[in-house]
Amino acid sequence: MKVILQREVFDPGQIINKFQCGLKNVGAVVNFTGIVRNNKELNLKKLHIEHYPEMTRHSLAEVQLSSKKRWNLQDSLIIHRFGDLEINEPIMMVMTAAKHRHEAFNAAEFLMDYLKSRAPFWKKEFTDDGSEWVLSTEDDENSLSRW
Amino acid sequence: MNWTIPNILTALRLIAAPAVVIATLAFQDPLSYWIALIIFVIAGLTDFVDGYLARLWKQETAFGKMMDPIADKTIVIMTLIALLVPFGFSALIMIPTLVIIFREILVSGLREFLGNKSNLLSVTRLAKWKTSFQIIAICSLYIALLLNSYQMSPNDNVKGTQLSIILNPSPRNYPSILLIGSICLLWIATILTFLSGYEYLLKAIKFIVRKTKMIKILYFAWVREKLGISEELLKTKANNINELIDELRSKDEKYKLAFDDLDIIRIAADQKLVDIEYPLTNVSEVAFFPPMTGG
Repeated sequence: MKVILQREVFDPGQIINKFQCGLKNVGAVVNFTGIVRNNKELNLKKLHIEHYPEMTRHSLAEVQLSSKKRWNLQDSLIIHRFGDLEINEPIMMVMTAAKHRHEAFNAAEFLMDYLKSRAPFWKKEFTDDGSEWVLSTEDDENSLSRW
Repeated sequence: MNWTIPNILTALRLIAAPAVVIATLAFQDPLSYWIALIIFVIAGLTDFVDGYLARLWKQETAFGKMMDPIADKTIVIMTLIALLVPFGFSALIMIPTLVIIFREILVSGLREFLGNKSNLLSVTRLAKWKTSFQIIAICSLYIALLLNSYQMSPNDNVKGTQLSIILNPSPRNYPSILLIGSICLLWIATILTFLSGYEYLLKAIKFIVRKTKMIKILYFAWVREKLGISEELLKTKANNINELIDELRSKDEKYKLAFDDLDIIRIAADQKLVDIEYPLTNVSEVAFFPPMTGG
């Protein structure tokens, strides 16, 4: 189990391969990659991510541990970037490894929902018109309640 | 205000106070003492009944909550001072009266000083007991006074006789035993009154001298941008996040704007998400930020 917070761009393929290498007795690996999308009609120039490092580490390690217990995960990995990100670059990745696919899918979704609304990251979009903080959506705020 | 029955009882008790005083001082004869005693007993009973009925009938009102303790204190203090006259300003009654007055001033002052925190000093069990004892002691003082005036010939000097009875009690002198008993009751009431005042004082001091602590405060995203700083060290006496926010808001306009709508602010205490009532005991780092938008 690992949480990686980094400024630099990463290669999802490389990370999947590395993650799978160390696994034993695993039947399913789920991975999700979030990508910087060119939002709506806006001319997104870049995305900036601010975070609260001490809290991020604490809370993500905690939620990783609870998801491991709940879905009997063999391993999980969370990578999240901060700083300036370009369009089409990966923002973050969640990976879960379990015996069966349902456990791996559920755990990955749970971790994603948590990251969306409870992990202290904030996105700011830079466009030709200036910059604006991304507003949280009600859906994201409420999605954790299904777990 | 609402003229509910409990409220009427409370208001009547307030009106009864000067009536007791007038009856005690006007003629200084047995009949007027009887009238004073009866009014006082009825008023004392309403004290036990009004709060009970208000709770029973769910008729608790702000007027009642405010007026009830005022009426209690008024009738007890006014009656005790009026009683000083027939008892010849005896120190044995004067001292309890002064202590009771001082205690009421102290507690009212503490409540006033604490302002919206005065619910810290909500009525204690001890304070309820002291009110009951005060009422019983005053009733027995009237009874002693009455028995004494029946035993005396009209020509006797009431004041002189009372004092000599207290100073030279004899077993044959029935009123003097009752008088000593009622003075004992009054002193017990006084000790309870003093202790309950002391209890309030300790609580208030604990609040007033609460420790100043240093808290590191972090701001993120637009909260940081609105304030123009990402972190600061704050010397604060705040007990919880709510008080801390009040303190920050009072710093200047920027803070007032940033903390305008608390629905769109999230709070972390020592890196854990908390709500606005979270206590700051042992917390060394507080962060304020908008709802998160990770992932």
